Amino acid sequence: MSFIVSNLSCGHQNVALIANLNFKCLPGESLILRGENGIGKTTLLRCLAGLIPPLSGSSFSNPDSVAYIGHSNGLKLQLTVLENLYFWQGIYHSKNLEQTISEFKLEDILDFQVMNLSAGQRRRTALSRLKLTQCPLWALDEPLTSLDSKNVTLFTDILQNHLDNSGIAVIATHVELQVNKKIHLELEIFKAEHTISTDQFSEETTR
Amino acid sequence: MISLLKRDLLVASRSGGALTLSISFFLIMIVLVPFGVGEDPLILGAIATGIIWVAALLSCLLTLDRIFQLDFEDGTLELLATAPVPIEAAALVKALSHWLTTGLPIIIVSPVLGLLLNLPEGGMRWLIISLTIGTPSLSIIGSFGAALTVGLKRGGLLLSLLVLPLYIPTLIFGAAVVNRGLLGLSVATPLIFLTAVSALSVALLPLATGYALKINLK
Repeated sequence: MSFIVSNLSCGHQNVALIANLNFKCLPGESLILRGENGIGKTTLLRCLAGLIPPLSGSSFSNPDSVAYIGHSNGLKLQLTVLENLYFWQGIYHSKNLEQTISEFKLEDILDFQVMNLSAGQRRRTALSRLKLTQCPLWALDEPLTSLDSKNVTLFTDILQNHLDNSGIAVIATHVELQVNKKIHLELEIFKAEHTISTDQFSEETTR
Repeated sequence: MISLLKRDLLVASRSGGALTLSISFFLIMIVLVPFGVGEDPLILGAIATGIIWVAALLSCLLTLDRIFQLDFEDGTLELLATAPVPIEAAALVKALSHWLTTGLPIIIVSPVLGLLLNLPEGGMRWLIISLTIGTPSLSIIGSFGAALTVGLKRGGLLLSLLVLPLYIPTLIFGAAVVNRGLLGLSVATPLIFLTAVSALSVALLPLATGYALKINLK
């Protein structure tokens, strides 16, 4: 299943950030989003994940087949790592919990409450949710934040493994990822003219 | 969905205050009433129904902002919105877990407090029945208000202003069930209306809640 985006425009309520974006990703390919701060990398990823409806155009993917990792980890601080993973396992009906734990090397911190973990350990736990979703498309927003070099290598290997199993990844990152078959997408080219709609409610009422 | 319920209850039990806040507030409020009103058993008995119902409303309100706010802040809510579960169902489950941690304890302790306020014996049965039927609608209506204000910092006051007027029908019919029961009159009419309010909110409001959440997550 390849991932096609055609003429996609997205942005916040009445401000378009990215206009007429076109790209196609084949299984096994990863797309690295490039562009300065504020250009719309996060907005685009949230749009692909189905959190923000596109202003126009379409992305040919089912939002349910997208696993999204945002800036925040989405972990419950009061629960242990294992309890957090159990929760996502229940939501996604995943059967690969043991495999996920060993791939992300979470064995040692399984019974720790997340509030007692370091930022890097929390990020690693959050990233392990990707594996549990068993989704073919990963939308990653700065996935390597707070990870040390050892864990960057660990995650790169997991990502490469995902791609080798005909997965697709769309990634916004400032750290160079050593994966095969990566395509760089310069978002500067698709920058929208900032048009502010005069009627703030038009978007809600016309739908 | 069951795993969401399990997780919410687990989080509530871990974060100390969540489980006991509403019920302690409910207890304190009712225990305070005789100090203010005086110890005349007849007066207390006459106002007991109203006091217990109003206290139930307010203590329910106290923890409403926790329903979505915490999940919104740590990012779980947006991940849940991208998961292949309908957000409306998630909203319903979260309202259920709110009811289990506030409404249910209130129902359980209400007979004791009825006794404390000298609620006449005939009213006890109707108090429990009306709270059992009425409190689920409090959680559901409240979760709708919580979804509307989820993105706002310090949205608690706005939430109260939004939700309290919507609680009026539940309060009127809930208290009417007990008061008519006390007088030995037929309680059928208020009981039917109370059930209708609860049934309608359970059936319709999760849809509105889901929509409000989607808008706030954009």
